[in-house]
Amino acid sequence: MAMDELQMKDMLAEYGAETLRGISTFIPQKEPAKYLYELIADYPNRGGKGFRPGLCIATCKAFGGTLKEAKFTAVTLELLHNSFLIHDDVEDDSFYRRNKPTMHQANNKAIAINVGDAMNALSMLPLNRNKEILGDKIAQQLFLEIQHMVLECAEGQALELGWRKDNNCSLVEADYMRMILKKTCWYTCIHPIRMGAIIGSKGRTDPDKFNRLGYFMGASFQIQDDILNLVADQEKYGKEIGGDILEGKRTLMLIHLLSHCSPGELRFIQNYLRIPILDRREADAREIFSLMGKYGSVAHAKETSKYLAGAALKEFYTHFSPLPDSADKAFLESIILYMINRNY
Amino acid sequence: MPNQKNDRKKGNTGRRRRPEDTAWIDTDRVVNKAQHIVSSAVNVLEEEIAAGILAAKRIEKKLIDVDEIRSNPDDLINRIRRDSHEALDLYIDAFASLSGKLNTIIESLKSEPPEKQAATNTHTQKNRAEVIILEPDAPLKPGGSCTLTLGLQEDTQGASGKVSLRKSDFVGPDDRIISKRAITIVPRTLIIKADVEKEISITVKLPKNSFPGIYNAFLTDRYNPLIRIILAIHVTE
Repeated sequence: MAMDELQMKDMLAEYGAETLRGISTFIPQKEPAKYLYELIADYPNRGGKGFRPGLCIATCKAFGGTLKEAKFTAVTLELLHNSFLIHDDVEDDSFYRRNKPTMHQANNKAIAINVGDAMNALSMLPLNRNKEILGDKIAQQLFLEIQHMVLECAEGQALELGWRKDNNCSLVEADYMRMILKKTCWYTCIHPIRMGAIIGSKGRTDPDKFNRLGYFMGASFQIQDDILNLVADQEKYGKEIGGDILEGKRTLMLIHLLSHCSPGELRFIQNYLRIPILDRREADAREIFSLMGKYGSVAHAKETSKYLAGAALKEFYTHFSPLPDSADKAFLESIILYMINRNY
Repeated sequence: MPNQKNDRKKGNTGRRRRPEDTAWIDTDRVVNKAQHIVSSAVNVLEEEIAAGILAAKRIEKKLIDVDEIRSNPDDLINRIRRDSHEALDLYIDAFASLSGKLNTIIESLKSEPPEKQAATNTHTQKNRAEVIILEPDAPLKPGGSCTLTLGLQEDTQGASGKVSLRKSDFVGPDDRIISKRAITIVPRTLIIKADVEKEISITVKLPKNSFPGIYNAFLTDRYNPLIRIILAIHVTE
């Protein structure tokens, strides 16, 4: 039976805190502290949701494994996630992350990029420690999972940045689904679930069967995050509201709008997206948001995200029903149900 | 940014949404749209996975230098070693499949009339005498457990031997599997001597979702392949 939202969030926080403790043990206590090692702890300590470690640990435990067995992988996932965020914030020139100035705003771009690089390198340490508790074969399998995850993420980021660079306004929804599969889904859901199952089952489960579950969950999660960027309360969201429109991010809403608006409106949006980010006017961003309302782009995105979460729930029941009932299995189910029932 | 208003015109039909009236919901449209979105997503995923496999194969092809492998016997041996591990995995899978077949044979023997069984026994007695069948007195319910005890001692006077039991999954009706994790063997390894009987405790804890039927698992000794034990359980609803 699924648990309620509060219990689910408590469990997520518990696994997140455990991962955070793990991260701190891997940060060297040495110089240069001020310009590097102290900064590495900055993003993880800002209170992220710990979604990826949570998925990995819970899946591992649902498959009969232990938190101890999944912990090193969870630490690797969270370190890599935070390094992606630092680099992502530089690439997007974002101002806020989790209610505080982004790493490059608080320091500078060069230092931020360097901190991200160091976090990438540090994330390899816990991954290597997997050999000690899981054996060479599974540790090597997990290494390849991480390698694929990082590369897919870079490919997804490349697609998105390339579209913005070339001011691509002729994208279709399949392009968006491909981009978020690469940029978000592999590293947010597919690989954390795959790796949790590999660890928990001691390598006896075929991880490929979780690809759809992770993809549907990740896509639903990303679309909801993009919607929140437009309609959320800024304090709760932790980033500037409407920032995606100002940055010209190719979200599902923008792609939907581009394919439904009038020729005149299309020209207006194309011209807006053509000018450099810092020269874009907030009034124009508001106008684009208003057009998204006019053409039902936000409603369409909400609907799409719910359908995908529904498909994720079906996949979850297919692959997790044969497992014995446990708090972790209920936790995973609750995450998906939360996505389905989410209100903005 | 302000929240968008919901009472906009519907794009396709021009009808106005009436919040108090749910008749406007077109279930076919909703189902079709959901199917369309999910199947488009699946197509993207399948394409990407296929592209990834293709790219990996291309890299693999570039990396394999047949001449170099042939000219380097040490590396060739390492590759054979690696392949042997894979072969061992395949062997274990085949072993699990064989235990499934064994289950079917035992089931058919049980259902044969006694006279026919006696006739069969004369042919197979020698082999069957080496197989120990362990089964609890009563059927088990899903989620239930039982503990069986097995006494072992060394046959040869003055000798001692090491016993370490390995286990297979339970195989039941319609090739249903109960994972070998349901079986706990204590101790896993022990030394046996002549005239001293030592006991091994075998506990079966069934998952709550176990399907009813008769299941068999195969236990064998790592050091003495002649020790063959069939663990038979009956799961009831």
